[in-house]
Amino acid sequence: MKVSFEWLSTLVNLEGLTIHHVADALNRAGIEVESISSLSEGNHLTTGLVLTQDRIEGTHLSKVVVDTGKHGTRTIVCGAPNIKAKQKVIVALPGARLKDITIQKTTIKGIESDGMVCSLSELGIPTKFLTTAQLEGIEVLDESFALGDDHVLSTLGYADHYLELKLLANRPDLLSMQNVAIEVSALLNRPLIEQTKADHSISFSSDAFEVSIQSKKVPHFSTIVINGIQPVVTPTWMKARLMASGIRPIHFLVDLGNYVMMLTGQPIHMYDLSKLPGQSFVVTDSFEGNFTALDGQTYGIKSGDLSILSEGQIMCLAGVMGAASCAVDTSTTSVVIEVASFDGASVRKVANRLNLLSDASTRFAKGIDQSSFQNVSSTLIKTLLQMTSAQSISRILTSGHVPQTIKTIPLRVDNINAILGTTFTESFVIETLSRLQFFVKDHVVYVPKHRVDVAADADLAEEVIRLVGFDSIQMTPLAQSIEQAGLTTRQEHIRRIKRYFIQHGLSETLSYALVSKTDVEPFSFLPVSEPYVIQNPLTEEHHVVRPSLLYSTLLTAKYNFERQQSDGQYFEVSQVYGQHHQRLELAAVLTGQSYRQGLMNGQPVDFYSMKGLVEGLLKILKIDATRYAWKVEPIDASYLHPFRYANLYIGQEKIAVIGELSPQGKAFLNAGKLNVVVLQLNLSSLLDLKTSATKMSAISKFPIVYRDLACLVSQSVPYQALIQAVRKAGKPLMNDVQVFDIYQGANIKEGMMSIALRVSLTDPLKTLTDEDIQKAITAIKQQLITEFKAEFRA
Amino acid sequence: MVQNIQRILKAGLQAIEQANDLATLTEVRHLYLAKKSELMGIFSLVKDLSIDEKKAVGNAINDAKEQLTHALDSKQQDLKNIEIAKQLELEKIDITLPGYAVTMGSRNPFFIIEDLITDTFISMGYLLKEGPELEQDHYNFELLNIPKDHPAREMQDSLYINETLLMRTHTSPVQAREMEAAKGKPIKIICPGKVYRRDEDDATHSHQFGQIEGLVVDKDIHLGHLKQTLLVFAKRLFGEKREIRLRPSFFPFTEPSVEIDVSCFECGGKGCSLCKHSGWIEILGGGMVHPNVLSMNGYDPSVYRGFAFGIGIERVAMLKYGIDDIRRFYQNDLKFIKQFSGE
Repeated sequence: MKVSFEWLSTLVNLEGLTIHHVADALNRAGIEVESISSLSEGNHLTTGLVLTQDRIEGTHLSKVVVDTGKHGTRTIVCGAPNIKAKQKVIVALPGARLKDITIQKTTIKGIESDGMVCSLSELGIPTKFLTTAQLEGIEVLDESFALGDDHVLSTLGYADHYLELKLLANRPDLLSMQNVAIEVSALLNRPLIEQTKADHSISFSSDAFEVSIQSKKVPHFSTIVINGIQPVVTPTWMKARLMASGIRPIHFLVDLGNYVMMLTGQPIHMYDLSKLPGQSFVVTDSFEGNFTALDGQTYGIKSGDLSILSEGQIMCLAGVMGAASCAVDTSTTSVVIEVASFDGASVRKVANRLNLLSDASTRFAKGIDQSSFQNVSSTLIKTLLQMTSAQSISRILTSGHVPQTIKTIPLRVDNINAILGTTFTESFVIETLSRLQFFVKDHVVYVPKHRVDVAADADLAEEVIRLVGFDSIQMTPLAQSIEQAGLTTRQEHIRRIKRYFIQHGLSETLSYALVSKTDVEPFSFLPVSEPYVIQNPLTEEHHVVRPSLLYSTLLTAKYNFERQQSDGQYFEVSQVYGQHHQRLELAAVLTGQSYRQGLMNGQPVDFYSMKGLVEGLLKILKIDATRYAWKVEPIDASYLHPFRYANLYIGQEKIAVIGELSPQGKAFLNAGKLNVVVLQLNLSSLLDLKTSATKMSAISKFPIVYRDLACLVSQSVPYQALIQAVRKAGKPLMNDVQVFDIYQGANIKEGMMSIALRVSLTDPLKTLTDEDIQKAITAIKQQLITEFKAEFRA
Repeated sequence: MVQNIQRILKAGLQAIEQANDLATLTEVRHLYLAKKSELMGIFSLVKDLSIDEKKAVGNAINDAKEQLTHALDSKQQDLKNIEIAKQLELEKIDITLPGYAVTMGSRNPFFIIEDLITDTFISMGYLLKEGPELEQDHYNFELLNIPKDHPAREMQDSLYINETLLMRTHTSPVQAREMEAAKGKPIKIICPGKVYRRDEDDATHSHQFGQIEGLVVDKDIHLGHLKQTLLVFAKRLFGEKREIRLRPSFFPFTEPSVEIDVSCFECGGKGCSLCKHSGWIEILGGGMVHPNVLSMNGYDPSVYRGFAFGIGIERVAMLKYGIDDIRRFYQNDLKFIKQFSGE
C-alpha cells in the first residue's frame, strides 16, 4: 500500500509533522514502512512561456527563447521533438538538481543555453506513469499556468512524498486511505479532518436497471447508473495522488474509480452503458466459456468462477477484470458503476489461476468492508461532480445482504492485563481503544466495522499494547521447569554419532530434500519405496521428495571436486520419506586421498577407510562385533565396485551398505580417477537397537603370551573365516588374534598368499607353561591345515 | 716404590686427561689397570716387604687404583655424553614443518546454530521435540487457526503432495501435535526442523530452510514471560550486552503477535550497515498462543495461556557469521564449511 503524504494530510491533521514522524509511528505500531520515496525530484525550477522556437540546422535540436517572468527571458537549447512556440513549460534554471542531472549554463552548437526545458521523467516521475508522448517530449503545461511559478511541482501536485506500507495479513482495512488516516490519527493523537458531505443537488432518476444474483458468493452488489456525463481530463491533483499511490492515470472515469478505491478500499468497476447488450446484470458462477478482457487477452472461464453477464454475454470476471466489449473510454457518457463484495477465496482462486492479480482483486481477496458501500457511493458521486457534470443519476440499486450489526466484545480489563502481564486501569484501556474509534459503553466494546481482525480479548490486548508500546511490559522469569528437561537417549545418540564423524575428519553437510525426478533413483543401496511427488513444484529441480540421502551427499562431493577440492570427507543425517517408508538416514562420502602431513604421506581412501569408520561407530554405540556381519550378497547397483562393497547386517536386517564406486558410478559423477567411497546407513534401525551398558570386566593378573604364526593359504580364503577358525581352535586360552602381514607375489606360489598372525593367549587362573602354549598353537595350526589347507614352514 | 706408584698415577691421570675418544680411553684403562699393567705388577713385589712398608705401598696402590678408576669412569661418561650429543645433532629436524594432521571435520553452520539455539532452551528446561516434514494440512494449518481460504495461507504458498499432505511450511505444527499429545498438561518444548515454501531460491530466499519453534503452555503465562525468555536467548546468542525490543506483528496462531529485534551486535545500537542504521536487527517472531489454537488443541483458554516463538536458523547464522547468501548453506563448499571448524 502506497500512501501519499499530501493526500493523508487532507484526511488527518498533520500540521508540524513530517512524513518521517508518520513513518516512525506506523513502524512502532506494527505497520511496517518499507520505504519513503518522493514522487518527483528537482529544485530551482520555474515556469515559462516559449516565445520563439527555431530548429538548429543539421541537428534534432531547437533554439528556444523562453519568458520565465521574474527570472527573465532565457535562450535555451532543447532536444525535445514536441517543443513549440506559445507552450507553457517547466524550466530548470542553472544550478538546478534534477533526478539524474545538475543543470549548468553551457554552450551547445555555439549557442549559450541558459537552463533546460524539462520532461516529467527528467523530474523523476516514474516512467510507468507517463504516456509515450510524455516520455519522448517535454511536459506542456495548461495555459492557465502563471509565469515564474517557482513551486511548479507543488502546483502540479508532484512535490509529494509517499510511504510504502508492508501490510500484515490481518489488516486489509489499511488498503484504504481513510483507514490509514484513522490509524495515524490514533497513533499520533491527531484529529481527523472532517470531510465535506456529498452535494446531491443533481436529480436522481429511476432508470430501470436490474440485477439478479444467482450465486451465494456475492454478499452484496450495488449499481449506480449515471447518464449524460461530460467527458473531461483528469485534474492534475488527482493524477498526482494516483501516481503517489502507484496507479497509472488513464482517463477520468477509470481514474475516478481508482481514486475512490484508494480512498475507501472498495474496488469500483465501470461499464459503458451504451455498450451493454441489455439493461440488466446476472451475477452467476455457472458461466463457462471464453472471455476477452480489458487487456485484450482471452481467458477461459470455468464453472465456479463468478461472472457478471448481460443478456447471457459475459461483461466482467467479478472482482478480477472487465470485458473489453463494454469498457469505458474517453468518449463514454453513460456508465453503470458496480460497488460490490465478492467471496474473497473465489476471487483469489480465479486471479491466481489466470495470473490476474490487481489492486482490485487483491482487495476482494482480502475482504471488503461491506458496511461502507453507502459512503463509497456518495464519495464517488461527490468526486465525479467535482470534476464534471452529469444529467442524471439513478437510484442506487442494492442487491444482497449488507450487514448492519456491530461486533461487540465484553470489556474484561483483568483478562487484558493477564495476557500482557500489565496493570492497566479500565479508564486507561478505554481511552486507548477510543483513539482507534472503538466505542466502549457499559463494559462492552463496540468494534469499528472496518476492523475485521478484532474479535476477542486477545485482540483488544494487542490493540492496547500496540498503541502503548511494548516497553511497558515487565520482564518476568518463568517459574521453574515444568518437566524434566534435556535430550532423550536417542537424541543424545544422534549427537554422539555426529560428533564421532566430525572428530574423524568428516564434515557435516546440508542438502535439499526436494530433488529432480532423475536424481532419485541411482544411488540408493538400501530399499526405498515409491517417492512422493510435489503436485505444484516451482521448478523441475525440486519436484520429488528424496526417498534416500546418499545421492545428495554425493552431489555435495561432486560440487567440491568440480572446484579443485578432490579430497573431501562428508556426511549428512536427514529424514527421508517414501510412500511406504520413512527413516533417519546417514550418508557419508570419502573422496581422493587423506593426508598425514601437508600433502605428504597421502593415502587414497578406499573400502577399508569406510569400514573402519563404521566399525568404530558400532563400537561407540556398544554394538559388539558378534552382533553384526559384513556380507557380500549381490545387489542391483552398477554404480558400486562389484568386488569392493559390503552389506552390514545386524540380525536379519540390512542396516548399511558401504563400497567404492565403480567406473560407471564415477563417470556419472564426473569423478574421473578419484577414489570415491560411500556409506548409506539406516540410522533409525541402528538407534532402535538395544545397546549394552558399560560394565568393567576382570583384568587377568597373569601375563599374556604372544606368538606369531605365518602360513600360506589360498587367496580366496577370507580373513574373517581364518580368524574365526583361530579363535575357535585356540580356546580356552585364546585372548586375541590380529593380522600383521599379508603378502602375495614374488616367491609365493600363484593363487596363494602368506598371512602372518599374532596370537595372544592367557589363562585367568595361572601363568601359562610352555607346554600349555605349545598345545594351543598346535591346535590352531592343525585347524588351519584341515580347514584351509594352510601350509606352515617346517 | 711409593714414589714409583705416584709417578705411574701421575702419568695415568695425564693419559686419561688426553684421551679424546672412547677407544683410546679403553686402551688407557687397559694400560694402567689390567692385571699385567705396571701398577698391578708392583703388587707382586709387596709380599717381600716389611709390614710397615707393605701397608704404605698397599695403600698407595689402592689409592692410585681408585683415583685412576674414578678418573677413567668420569672421563668415559664425558666422552659418552659428547658422542650422544653428536648423534642428537644428526637427528636434528625442521620444527617448522607441519605436524601430523589431527583429522577434524567441520559442521555446516546451519547445524552449529541449530544446536546452539536448541541447547540454549534445553538449558532453560525445554524438551526437544521433532515432527514430520511431510505434514497433514490439519496440523500445518487447521489446528493453528488457519482454516481453508484464510488469507494467511497466501503468506505461505505451500508445496503440496496431495490435497491433505504437504511439505510443512513451518515448525508450528509440532506445537499442535504436542498439545494434542499432552492432553491438557503444561508444555515447554523447543522444536527445530526443516521447513519448505514455494519460493524461488535467491540470496535471501530458499524453498527449504530451518526453523526452531518454541512453545510454553501453562496457567498464568503472559507476554512478560516471553519477553524475559527471549532476552535470555538474545544474550546467550549475541552477547551479554544485547537488549531486545518487541514490535507488533501478525501471525494467525498468536495474539498478540510480536516481532523481536535485538540491539545490533555489530555497532552496539549506534547504527551501522548491518542494522541498516536503525540500531536493531529483527531476529524472530512470536506471541501469545491464540485462544482458538488453545481451545482447538484441548486447552481451556480461560485457564491456560501460552507463548510461542519461531526462529529462522539460517537467518541467525547469517547474522552471527556475516554469511552473505542463504544458498551457501546448501552448496556445502568446503572452502565455506572449513571456516567454521571447531565452532
